[in-house]
Amino acid sequence: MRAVDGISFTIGRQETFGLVGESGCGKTTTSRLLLRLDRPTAGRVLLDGQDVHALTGADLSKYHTRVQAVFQDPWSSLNPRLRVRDTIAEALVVNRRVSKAGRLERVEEVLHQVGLPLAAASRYPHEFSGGQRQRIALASALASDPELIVLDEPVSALDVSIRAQIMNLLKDLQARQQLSYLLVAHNLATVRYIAHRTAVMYLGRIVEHADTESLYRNPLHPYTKALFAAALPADPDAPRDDMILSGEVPSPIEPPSGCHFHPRCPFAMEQCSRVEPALKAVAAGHVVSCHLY
Amino acid sequence: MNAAEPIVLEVKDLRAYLYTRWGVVRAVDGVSFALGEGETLGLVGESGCGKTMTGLSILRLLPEPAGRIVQGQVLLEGENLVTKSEAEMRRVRGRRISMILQDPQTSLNPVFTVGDQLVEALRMLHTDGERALSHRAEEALRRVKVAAPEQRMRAYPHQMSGGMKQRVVGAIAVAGEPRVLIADEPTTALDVTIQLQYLTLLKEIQARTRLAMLFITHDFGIVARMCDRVAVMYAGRIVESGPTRALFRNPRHPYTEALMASVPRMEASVERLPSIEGQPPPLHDLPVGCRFAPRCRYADDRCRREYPPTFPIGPAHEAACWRVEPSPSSR
Amino acid sequence: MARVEERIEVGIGSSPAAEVSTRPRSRGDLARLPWVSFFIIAVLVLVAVLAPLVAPHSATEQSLPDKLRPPAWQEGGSTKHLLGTDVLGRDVLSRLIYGARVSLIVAAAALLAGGGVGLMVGIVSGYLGGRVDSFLMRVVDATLTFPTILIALLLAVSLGQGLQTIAIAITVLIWARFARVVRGEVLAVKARDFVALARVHGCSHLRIMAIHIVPNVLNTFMVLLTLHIGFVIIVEASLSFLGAGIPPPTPSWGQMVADGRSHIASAWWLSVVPGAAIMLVVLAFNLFGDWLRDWLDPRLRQV
Repeated sequence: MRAVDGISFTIGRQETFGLVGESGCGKTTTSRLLLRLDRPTAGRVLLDGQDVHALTGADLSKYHTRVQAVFQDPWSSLNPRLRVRDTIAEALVVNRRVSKAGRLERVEEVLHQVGLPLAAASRYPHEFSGGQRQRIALASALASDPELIVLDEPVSALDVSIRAQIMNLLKDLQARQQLSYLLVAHNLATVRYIAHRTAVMYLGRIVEHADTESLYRNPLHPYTKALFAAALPADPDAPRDDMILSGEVPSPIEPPSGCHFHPRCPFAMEQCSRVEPALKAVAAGHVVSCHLY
Repeated sequence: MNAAEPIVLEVKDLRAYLYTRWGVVRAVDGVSFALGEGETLGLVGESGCGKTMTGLSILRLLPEPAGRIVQGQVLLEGENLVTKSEAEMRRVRGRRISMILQDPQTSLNPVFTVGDQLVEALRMLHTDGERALSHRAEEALRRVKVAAPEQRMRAYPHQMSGGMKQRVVGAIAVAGEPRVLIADEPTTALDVTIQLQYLTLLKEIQARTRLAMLFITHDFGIVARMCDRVAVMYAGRIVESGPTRALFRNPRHPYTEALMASVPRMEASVERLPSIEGQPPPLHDLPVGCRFAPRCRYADDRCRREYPPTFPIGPAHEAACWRVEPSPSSR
Repeated sequence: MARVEERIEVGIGSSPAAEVSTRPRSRGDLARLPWVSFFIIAVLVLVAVLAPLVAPHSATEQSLPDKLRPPAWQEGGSTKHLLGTDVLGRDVLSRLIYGARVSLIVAAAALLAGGGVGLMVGIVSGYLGGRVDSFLMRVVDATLTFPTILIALLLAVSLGQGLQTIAIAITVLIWARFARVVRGEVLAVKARDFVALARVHGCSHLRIMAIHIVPNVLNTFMVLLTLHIGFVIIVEASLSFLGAGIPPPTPSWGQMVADGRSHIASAWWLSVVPGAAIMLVVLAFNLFGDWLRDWLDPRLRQV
């Protein structure tokens, strides 16, 4: 099964790269490949020109401090048996970077950065609410002073009134620490708020990729259009240019030939089922993979 | 409220508490609303605000033995459901009020085919023979736009996608031609394009059957699309309610206002979202006075002392906040 | 992502910056303790440890003139032998007290060994998965198909009677039960995000197992351990009853029941007293285990 099929993108320093798409599109697999949680069958994941799956020894240890992650469910991402300070310091302990005193200092530093009281350090996760837990998860990602943090649906499991807090915190931290983010999300509004550049994935491939503003203003790929049209604006008077797609996302085990989207595409042409469209630049920094362009 | 429509369901001062080890969790604490025929009321709030418990208390399905309805009435076409016996309630559930839950996975029994489960649901409602029931089941699937219903009848839930399963759940829910449908975040587990398909389907069913819908959600996008009226819940109580357009254009309760402002928009880019600091109070340890006061930037001493009554703001639009109290001169 | 019930958050602070409140431990906790079980277990342990001090007589000393005395409250009984004497004139109460020692030692030894092996196998099998897992689980399946008592009898016969034999026999019998349950639990823990994050942090497999997996299956393991104490006591009693257990004259409850069998019509107390002791203790441990399970399960603790 090809969960992710020949995709490439780059993330710049202090930049947020958003990956959007529906379940099964491969966005989570992409992030897991980058995190070394899954291995690619072919191809490489390069970080600063180095293949992350070929790293060993000191390089690997260095990689573990440079790349961190925050996952969706803060109820699952903290070990209930560890005190908050031990969870936060884990990357430091494992990669032997600092002394014990330095470690505690760093824990306090990052707790402060994510807006938690220092007293939180000696407590256990069950004493915190979802929003606070997500702050702890973020603190744990920050501890090793990483360059890139993979954010896999960082707010979708949180309460509506808490989401803005966390999203703002993510933005502040990025500005302060020059972090790069890979944001994986299905909520298009979240991505628009946080990401600088966005790629839309469908069945393991990137179908469109542009800086966030131009993508949202002018979506080109029919799938992007449909995806955007399906997002419901929080406005009862918003125009309803519904483009309801028929059918469902086909199984990634047996994706359709040619353009993966052609069976559901309202603009499908004869060649769409035969020829896989290449990614073409239609404007500066705006690429799309569709025979219409 | 659509004054012309007859009221199907009316909830009056409903209080449902959970008696836990930590004390009394006041999950639903004085909730009132009415639902007219063919109308959709959105019940909006965060998790833990009591919106799901409200839905469950209407059907008298609170978790046993902790949950209890301690006060209030649930009037279904004038009949009070709170005082009914369990046997009587069984004749209400599925026939007069149905419910769709968030996760289709847990709503369907994995060891029976979809057809079996539909036929089982229909058997309680019709006295037909096996073959006729099976026909009805197929028809029910066709109505929720399941492709190739003859084949789907023989499929097991795990052989279907989430969206398809939720359609089947929907088919079972409306099979008894209920007067009221309680939909508790029915699309949260679905992808956006599938969500839109499903919402459109619910609208079509409603247009055909004049079903009254109570739509429980935390998503303002869904509210804007689906609901005629909205009630916003916070910490066990409705803090503001009104026609959808009025509420979106002119939210008056500080919570509604702040919540709407804190949700990022798909259609506009913002530099920084105003966020609500803090978090909802635990329902077993509520503050005296207005429950939003600790997080409210307008709160004053009176707010922290006294829970505000509900004041009218506009046609069918009301809010429980001291700030919207009509001044004595204008009365 | 998909959650049906609303999470009712209990015991949270009012804001992330505010002081974080501890989950309140309420008065209800004490009232729910299984006091009766506690009491029985405490008495058992005390009596077993202090046997030489609390036993009124020697457990093995025979006194034929005093043979088959009924318990004190029956006609012919005396306060000298509260629970009567057996066919050799030995004091039943004293034998019961020393027998408690045997039962507890066997239970402790077998559970430590069997539980320990089971825990390790379960963790390795569940965490590594793949072929290791398939192999270990086939071994577990095979072990579980052994007819319990028969195997224990065979072992007892081939290794010779004695405390060690019984402990070894029971270990062989129970490790697989532990391994299976622990493995299932490990699979559930392994799927949680903090394990993936540990890998992102660069933890070794050993560290992940030791810090992230083991502590999170320990609750289940403790419950399992407690629930098996009763089982082990019964197996020990059964083996002794069948004559493959502790060799006489060391007192053991199972042996006492067996010895009293032939006199059941005339001297009921010989079988009934140790039988009742077995029942009471097993019941106490099982009730305690049930309570422990509920108490440790946060889902059940919420309501």
